[in-house]
Amino acid sequence: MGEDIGTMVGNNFKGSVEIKSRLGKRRVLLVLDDIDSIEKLNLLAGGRDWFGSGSRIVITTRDETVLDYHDAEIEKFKMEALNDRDSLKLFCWNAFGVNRPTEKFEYMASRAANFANSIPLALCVIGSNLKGKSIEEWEIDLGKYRKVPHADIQGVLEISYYSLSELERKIFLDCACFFKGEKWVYVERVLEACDYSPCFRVFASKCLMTIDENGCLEMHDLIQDMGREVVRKKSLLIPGKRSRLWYHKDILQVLKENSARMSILPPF
Amino acid sequence: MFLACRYESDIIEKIVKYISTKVAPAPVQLKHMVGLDTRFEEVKSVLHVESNDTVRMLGIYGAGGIGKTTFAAYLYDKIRHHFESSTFLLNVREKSDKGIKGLEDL
Repeated sequence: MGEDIGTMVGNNFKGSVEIKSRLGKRRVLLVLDDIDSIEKLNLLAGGRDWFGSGSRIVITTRDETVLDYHDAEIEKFKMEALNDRDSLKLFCWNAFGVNRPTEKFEYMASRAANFANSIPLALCVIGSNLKGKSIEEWEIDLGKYRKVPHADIQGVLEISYYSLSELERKIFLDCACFFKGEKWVYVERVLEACDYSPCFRVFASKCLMTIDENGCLEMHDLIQDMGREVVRKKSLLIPGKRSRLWYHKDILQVLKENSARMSILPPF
Repeated sequence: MFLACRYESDIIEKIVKYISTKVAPAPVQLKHMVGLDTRFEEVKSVLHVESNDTVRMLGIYGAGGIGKTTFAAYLYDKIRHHFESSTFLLNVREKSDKGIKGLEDL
């Protein structure tokens, strides 16, 4: 059983020295999830000599080129979308709790799964949004998905957002703008102080957020982006007209120009 | 500590509980896994987990929402027992974007 090696490593340089000295002789498995630049990869896994012989380093990234310019050769594996059969299976797990549709929903299920373009995140979100609904309600919701342009995952995710109650939407936006990665007990305290009583179950059941094993609030990047985009779209050019500000440059601009409207909520 | 139990089932339960506290949980919640085992088979031949000759690096790439992190977590869970130490750094981009403080957490 491997012992955990994720500890404090100080600043970038100290971190790389520390990694080398601690792991240089050990056979380790290291997964670096969501690397977006070559610099970050070099800081965390600069070369083969950082790790003991037999070690394996696994990297996930959206940007294939990150893998091209490293001293050590990196084998590539392209993550493809699911095939049709697996797409339907994943959709059904989320929509019905089993891996195939009931007879009544067979046709509807494959239509609904199609709107996800075989992307697992979209399959989970659409499936869980339709869970427990009647066939008439499915029909209405499928009409909404049909209006989303092809391959627009943000549009698909937004439908789940608009299926929330008004209060739940506010809480969701707060979470997307300010609280991702924070302890849920803390988030709950802040929201309760605003007179919101957050019911986490709703968000979890729609696959919008989860609480990880450390009790921290987690949501997929694309779901967070969707929430922030909902806020940003209120006024693309004038940050002072948006309900929430989280980006320091926007905040600075609003403060400098004194352009905040009453609708604005402060970042915590 | 286990001998105080009278029944075998009690002892097993206690052992399971005890071991569970020692084993780190999967880095992300893995439920309804679909299509991951066939991918795992493909990757296994690239990783050569049992070979000890060199350090190998594998890059999993693809669009957002396609399941890269889920697959990496699945892979991690399947092979980590082969290694002396193992760790999974989740969301490096997001944590490091918060500045040096973020990298410290890693």
